[in-house]
Amino acid sequence: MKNRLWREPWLWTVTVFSLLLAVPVLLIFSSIFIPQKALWQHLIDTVLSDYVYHSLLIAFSVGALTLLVGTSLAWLVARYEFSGRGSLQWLILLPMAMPAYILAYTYTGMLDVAGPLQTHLRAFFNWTYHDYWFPDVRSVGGAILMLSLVLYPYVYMLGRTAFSEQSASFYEASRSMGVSGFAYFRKVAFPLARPAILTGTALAMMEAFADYGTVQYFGISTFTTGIFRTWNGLGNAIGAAQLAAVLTSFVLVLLLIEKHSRRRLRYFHQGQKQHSVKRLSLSPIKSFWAVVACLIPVALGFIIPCVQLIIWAVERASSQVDAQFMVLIWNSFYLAVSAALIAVGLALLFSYAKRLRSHWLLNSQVQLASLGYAIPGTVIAIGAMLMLSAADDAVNALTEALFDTSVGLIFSGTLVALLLAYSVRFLAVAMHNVEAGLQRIKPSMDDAARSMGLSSFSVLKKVHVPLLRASVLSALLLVFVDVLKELPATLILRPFNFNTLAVRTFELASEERLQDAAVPAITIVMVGLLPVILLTRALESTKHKSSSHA
Amino acid sequence: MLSLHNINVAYDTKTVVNGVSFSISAGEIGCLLGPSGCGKTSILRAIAGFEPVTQGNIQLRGAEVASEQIHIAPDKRKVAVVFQDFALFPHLNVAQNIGFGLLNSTSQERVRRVDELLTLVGLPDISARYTHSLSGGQQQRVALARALAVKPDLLLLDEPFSSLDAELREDLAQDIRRILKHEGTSALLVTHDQHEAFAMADTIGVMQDGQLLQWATAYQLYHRPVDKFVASFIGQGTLLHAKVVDGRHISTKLGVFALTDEQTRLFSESHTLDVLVRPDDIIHDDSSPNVAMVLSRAFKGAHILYELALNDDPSAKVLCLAPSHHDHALGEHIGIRLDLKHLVVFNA
Repeated sequence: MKNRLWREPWLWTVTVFSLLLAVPVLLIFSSIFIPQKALWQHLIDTVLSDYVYHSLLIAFSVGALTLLVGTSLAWLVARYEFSGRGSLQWLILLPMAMPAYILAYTYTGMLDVAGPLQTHLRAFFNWTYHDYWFPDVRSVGGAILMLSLVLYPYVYMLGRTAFSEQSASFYEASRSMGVSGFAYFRKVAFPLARPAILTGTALAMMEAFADYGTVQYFGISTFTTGIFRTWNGLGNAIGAAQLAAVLTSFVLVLLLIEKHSRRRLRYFHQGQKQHSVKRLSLSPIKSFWAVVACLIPVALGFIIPCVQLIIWAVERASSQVDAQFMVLIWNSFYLAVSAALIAVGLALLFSYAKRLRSHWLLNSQVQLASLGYAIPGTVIAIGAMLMLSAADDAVNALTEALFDTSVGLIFSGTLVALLLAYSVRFLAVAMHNVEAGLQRIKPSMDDAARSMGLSSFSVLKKVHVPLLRASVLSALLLVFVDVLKELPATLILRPFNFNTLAVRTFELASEERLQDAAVPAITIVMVGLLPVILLTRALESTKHKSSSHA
Repeated sequence: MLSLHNINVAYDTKTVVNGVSFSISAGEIGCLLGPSGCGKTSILRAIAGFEPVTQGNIQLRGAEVASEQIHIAPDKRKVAVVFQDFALFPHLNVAQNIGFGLLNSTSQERVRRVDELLTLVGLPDISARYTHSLSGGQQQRVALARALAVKPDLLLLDEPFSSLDAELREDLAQDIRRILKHEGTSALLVTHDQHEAFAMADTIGVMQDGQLLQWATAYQLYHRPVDKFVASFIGQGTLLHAKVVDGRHISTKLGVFALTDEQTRLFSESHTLDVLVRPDDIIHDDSSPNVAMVLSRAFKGAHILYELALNDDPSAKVLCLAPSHHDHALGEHIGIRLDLKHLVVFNA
């Protein structure tokens, strides 16, 4: 077996790398075999029920809200024609650029007792603090709202594509059998789009489970904050890992639902599509309400907080934009670029290995390695820490035995830890794009080029590089932005005194310096707009392609 | 049952159906036949209620359902449609698909009707299966069963065989004809394939460029086509030049033939005409004094289809379907005899 492995360079390279990426999560799960009776007794007596209750409540409420909002918007945009529809259908995606924790800080700043809204209300009605009731943003309900506002685009995007791809003959068949209007939505359109909508909802729920920044800031006990507390406060690494294992098993259930839905999606695409359903025109009054319905989530999830952040950032720019801020930008930038290069490099290696050498072992390893997108950043960070501190211990024991000196924390205390965690978490994003690009290069193109006398290197240069360039660039951009926005893993794994934009935003917000936090926050949001623009263009181009086929 | 009076259908400003009239009586199976883009599917969609008419009117059971002013909704017309892509719902199983339109039935009635229909279309054991696991022919039968479930007054079939294998088509077309006749359902089929039309329909309308050229039985379309387009679209054949002589006869390269009284009124002395000659009008007879030269041949199993030149003139061609044993080489001269049962002539 071993001999055969050496003769398969693709197989063993992929094996080495996919094992490296899998170890953090495997360590998390193996931690459950080390009994931690005292800790668990303590957790059960105190906070465990809160963790379970809040995490599940938040994830399922976010699931329900994103399902409702995302599906309604998708149906509205796919089924009806109204003025402004063209621009609204991509405006609806904008909240994707807003990390939930930044939304949470902004709304807290705006709606708190000392914030502009309540101050104006008091001044206007001559109220004092105790005279009136005002909803508290810093609550479980607030967290659900913040997360839903930035996560509904997942459901919207997949739902809209599913609705607009449904063949017109389904609608006409239903009409001729007496089923139209809302009954058609309930009996045909929604069930047909259900796999896509469930996929989007599962993704939104995974993100809700993984959220740390929002719930931490609102002071809600969930699994992610609990993992932090057990790790930092109680200093119990194994206990933190065990909590992480429980959280991960929740997420894996969602992952199974998502995979199952995607499989069903294939059956629902049978038959040739004749023509799309013609969108129904709305009367001017109904058009107006449709525009309002589309604008509400965009305004709440992007426009209002964005304007507020810009106002604060402009006010504080003089004190906040200094040499330290430049260091922050530089740190974030080179960290994100390095992580993007590594993730896309690995994605290229894995995709080419799969293309050139189809082997069950290789395929399952690639699949395993790309599960990371489902695992919360907190969990990956704990796993990476366990793995790298063990590696550090081993290296130090070795150097002490051999040279009587220790080299220190060369893995767990450096950027290596961060880069490993980012690779685990974001490899799937890179793989998705690179594989999509590689699928367009049919194996027959290689054969055709080779038969015309090109060497395999020339084929790579003249066929693969130009055809892959766009998807590799978008993979780089997506990973870059995801790393820039990432908070929990960065908080746990960053080297001492190493700050990024996300970490600095978190720190300033934790110190209640919300206006100051606006400067790094708006920087993250603006960079976060890039992939949204990219996505819009990709959606547009698929639309043109499908319409030119019709 | 169904009658169309001088209807127009237009998309935006482009008129795709122009002044079409025809009618189908109860239990009759009609067919619109024509090349793609001739407007036949637009007529079907106007009857179903998916497109409005811009002129004329459509009547179902004597009641007007569509005109310039009136547009009855598709679900109020009691018309069922079998779509080109079948439009079977992938999220429902076969029984649920067939029962989809039975909105006002009890579940017991629904089960009974579904079973009845599955037996009728010859697929009694597949009610729990999902449509993606069915073959094309099975999907076609399920789509038919679903359309018949609501006991429509009229069934519309839009290119129902185009996604099936060629061998399946004619068998299925005859099966569907049997089923429709058994249920006594009136139907209108749209197709570009004359063999499907012949296998299924009682009456066939040939269409070209939005106009209905002829509405007749298959026999009449073949033997009494009203113009050159119908003559060339239906079956095979060639046109021979002819000239009217002594008022009542025409002279061709194959001899002199008498015109009917009606034709005599239409054409005057010395008028030049084209005579339609079908392959079955030319009998291969080795003892005949008339000979023609073999230009090309196509082996068809039981027969060989010969293309022959009269008087060695390649512009005067006829086709001849000879028994397969009469194997003649290119360039050979073979004896033929004309057996015109009726004379079909057009203006040259």
